Amino acid sequence: MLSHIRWQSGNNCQSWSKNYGNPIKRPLAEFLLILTATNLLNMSGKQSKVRKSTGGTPIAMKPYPIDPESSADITYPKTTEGSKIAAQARKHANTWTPEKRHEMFKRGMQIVYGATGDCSTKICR
Amino acid sequence: MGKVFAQRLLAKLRLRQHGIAAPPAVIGELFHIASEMSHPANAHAIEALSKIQRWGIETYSLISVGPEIVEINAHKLLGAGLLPEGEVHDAVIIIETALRYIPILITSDIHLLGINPAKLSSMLDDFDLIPVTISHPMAMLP
Repeated sequence: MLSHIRWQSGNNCQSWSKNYGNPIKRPLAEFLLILTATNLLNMSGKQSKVRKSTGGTPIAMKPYPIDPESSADITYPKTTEGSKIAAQARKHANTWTPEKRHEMFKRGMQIVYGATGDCSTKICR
Repeated sequence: MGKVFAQRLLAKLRLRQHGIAAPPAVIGELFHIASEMSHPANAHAIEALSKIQRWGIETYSLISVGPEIVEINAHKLLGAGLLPEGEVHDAVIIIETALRYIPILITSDIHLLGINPAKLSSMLDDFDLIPVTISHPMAMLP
């Protein structure tokens, strides 16, 4: 019986794939939005919430998926830690030449694609 | 995991099937925070850069346009008094957004949020670029 169910579910997956394509494939975006460094900095880092166990040892809470529809009380603050740091970085960036700006972008993209961004490889030079 | 409000913004934008992108100037800015600023946020900037693709945020380059063109147009925005003097980087972000035909720029930057929308649209139209609406993340989370 179990094997029959397994076969059936496998078959269903195949037919889903055949009829609707790859289910993981993302739908076409309605339109594109830009995010600045502030938002991206706030997305990284650890959760600030910790739960204390009965023994008094803090236990980091497991990451939980954010439900975009619930928790209506969560508001986006006017200023965040990320926005303060990004403002400092932008002050420095105002003095960059076009070449320096392009160089910083190139090195940032190296980290995006899994490298260290230290320009120690031949391909970077 | 990051801050709850930022993750909620990302989840909300994904739910609405919006595409999300980070312009080249923002990638450079994050690299600057990661490598050249001595700040505890260095690790966050590296994490943001290394996870940007996993978060479904598109990156793009404007090599075909050239950094000089971006810079010239950015200085024109500054010359028109749309941004305070010296805020070149903010102007570059706007131009890079418009050059990629992206209609909304989400930011918490006071200078960018303070721009006169009508004047900006008119200037971008003069450059044959699309109008860009600048919005605070809060406006995307009703």
